[in-house]
Amino acid sequence: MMGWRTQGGHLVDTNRRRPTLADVAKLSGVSPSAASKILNNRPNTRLSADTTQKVRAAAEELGYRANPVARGLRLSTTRTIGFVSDRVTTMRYASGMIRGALEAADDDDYTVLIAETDGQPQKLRRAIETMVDRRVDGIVVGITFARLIEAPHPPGLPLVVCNGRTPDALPCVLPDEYEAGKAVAETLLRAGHRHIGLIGELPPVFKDPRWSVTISTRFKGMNDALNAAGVSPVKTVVPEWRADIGYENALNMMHQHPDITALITATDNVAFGAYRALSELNLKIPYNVSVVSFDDEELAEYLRPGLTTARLPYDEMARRATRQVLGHRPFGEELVPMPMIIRESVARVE
Amino acid sequence: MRRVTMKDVARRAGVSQPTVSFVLNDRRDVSVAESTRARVLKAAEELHFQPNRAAQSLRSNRSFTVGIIADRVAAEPYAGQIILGVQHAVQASGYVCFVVETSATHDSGEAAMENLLRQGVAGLIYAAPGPRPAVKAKTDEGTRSVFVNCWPSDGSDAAVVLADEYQGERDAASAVFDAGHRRVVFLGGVEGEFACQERERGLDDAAVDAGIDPRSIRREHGDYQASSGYELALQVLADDHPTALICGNDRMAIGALIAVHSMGLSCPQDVSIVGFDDQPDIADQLHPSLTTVALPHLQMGLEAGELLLADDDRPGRHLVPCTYIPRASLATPPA
Repeated sequence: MMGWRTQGGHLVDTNRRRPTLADVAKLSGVSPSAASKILNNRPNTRLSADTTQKVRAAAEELGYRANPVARGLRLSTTRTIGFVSDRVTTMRYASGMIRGALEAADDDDYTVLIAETDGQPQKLRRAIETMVDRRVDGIVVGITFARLIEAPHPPGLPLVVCNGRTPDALPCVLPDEYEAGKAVAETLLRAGHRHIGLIGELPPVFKDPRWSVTISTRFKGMNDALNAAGVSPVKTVVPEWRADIGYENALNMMHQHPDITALITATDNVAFGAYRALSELNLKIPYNVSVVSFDDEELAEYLRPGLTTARLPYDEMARRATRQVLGHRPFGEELVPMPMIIRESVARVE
Repeated sequence: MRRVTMKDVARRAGVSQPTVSFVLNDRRDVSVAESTRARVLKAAEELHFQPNRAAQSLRSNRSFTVGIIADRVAAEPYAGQIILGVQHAVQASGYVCFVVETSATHDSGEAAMENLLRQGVAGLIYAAPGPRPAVKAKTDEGTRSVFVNCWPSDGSDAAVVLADEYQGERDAASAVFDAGHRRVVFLGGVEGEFACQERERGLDDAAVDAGIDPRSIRREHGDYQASSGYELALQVLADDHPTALICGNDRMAIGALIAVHSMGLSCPQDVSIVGFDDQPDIADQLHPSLTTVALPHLQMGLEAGELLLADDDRPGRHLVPCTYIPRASLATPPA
């Protein structure tokens, strides 16, 4: 993409960095959200006249324009963030991202325009170009399963990848899978478990970043924590993370290793199958066997007893990606903690 | 006065709206007969057609946009396939879809809709995760609109695409009765809402077909959440010992399945369970896999996209059939 484009008969340099709210906030020495409130004329902000004056002076000096119409005319902006996704809106897993992006944009009185690209690189390129034509102020590229993708970067426009990485290391936000892996293992270790089964490893995904840039660290975190405690888990290798595969693996594992007191499942889908297997074996969760998992997806809520799991924080990741785009956070790679959602599936063993 | 749109030019010239777009945007990569081209240009001149701001940028062949106004469709995990369907329908004509999600914003998406419309769209599609009224954008005067899984809240005339909820439930309930079940309980969704009413109507007609008095079927109503399926199933299993549960959706069916298991019963040996929705990656992965009715979200999106780009307006209700999906959770009742 070129650095110039025409607008209203004039050439506009798209490489020139536009002053952001963060610049105004920095120059006037207030928080970005305070600056935003003042420049957007939000009522009842409880900010002093002095602060208001300082922020306006800084905005003037930098040529920052908060009024959408004025911005649209002078700086060719529309107060719109583009959210371009592979399958975030069409699949169920990561739809929380849309909520996070909307909320973060809404806080700054920005609107969000969403484009789906069905996982096709060509459509991704076209969607981003079309967003540029519609003069969005920044772009978040949202990816359903954290993987390596190629995304064109229009010059002069902030672009952040949410739940993915690019070969040219564009700013991105990823879940902190390593720490989550450790936390899951430590949840069991703290409860006194030493005989632990792990369902299941998926070696092709570990090796290929086009499948996942994060999953291998999920397992590394888990293994590091277990090794540090001198525990070697019983492991299985699986072809896919599905409920029926979780069911078969849990059944076999408990037959072969009846001394196992806890299962770690790679995803909630797998846990769903493991629950069924344990109930068929008359093993009560968590009194006979504890189960802990990853994702906190829809299925986790349904299970009885409730499943303790490390949550993929889609909403928070998108919130942070959007805040990077809006200039509230420094550009770069950011890891978002995966909170442990403690429910009823883990018990202590003596 | 209303702005003259490409739709008006299309009508005047007797061609489709995409054809008008191709001609007026001088897209030489799309073949349009010279006589048609001349007719379109003449009609545009006669009507004093003024391309809007976005139309001007169409010269780049890029801003060819269909807007989707989504109320929880993008931000919730249930009906995203509608968006995919719309996209598939319109992309062949060179359109890009832009989605505005109206939930999670302080103004119900009003500013976002205005932004979208200010730059011009070829048409608008309103979408919801479950059939309900949709509030039209204030500024969409003169833009062709199609409603999918929703209808205009102001009661105005429009093309409305809905799933045939009645037929879906009638098919599922018939399968339950055909399998020999007589002690059947209906664990429905929100009572009085369109989807639930239509499905109960389907249940009633299936019962009549099977020679069963519909009034003899116990009905309980939940809120489409798994927990309500769980609670209601625990209650009716203890009271009535039904052999089959017909559930308001897959989530309630999952709740019912967990209730069956927690009472030490088996599905389908002791109790059969039927859902509604066919939620991808869930219904087919349960143990046992869930017999259900597929909501045709993808097809509904396709239909809406086609209606939007059709040569003429086709107001009224367009019903898309649901598909009964037999899996393992429905079997014959215990002897």
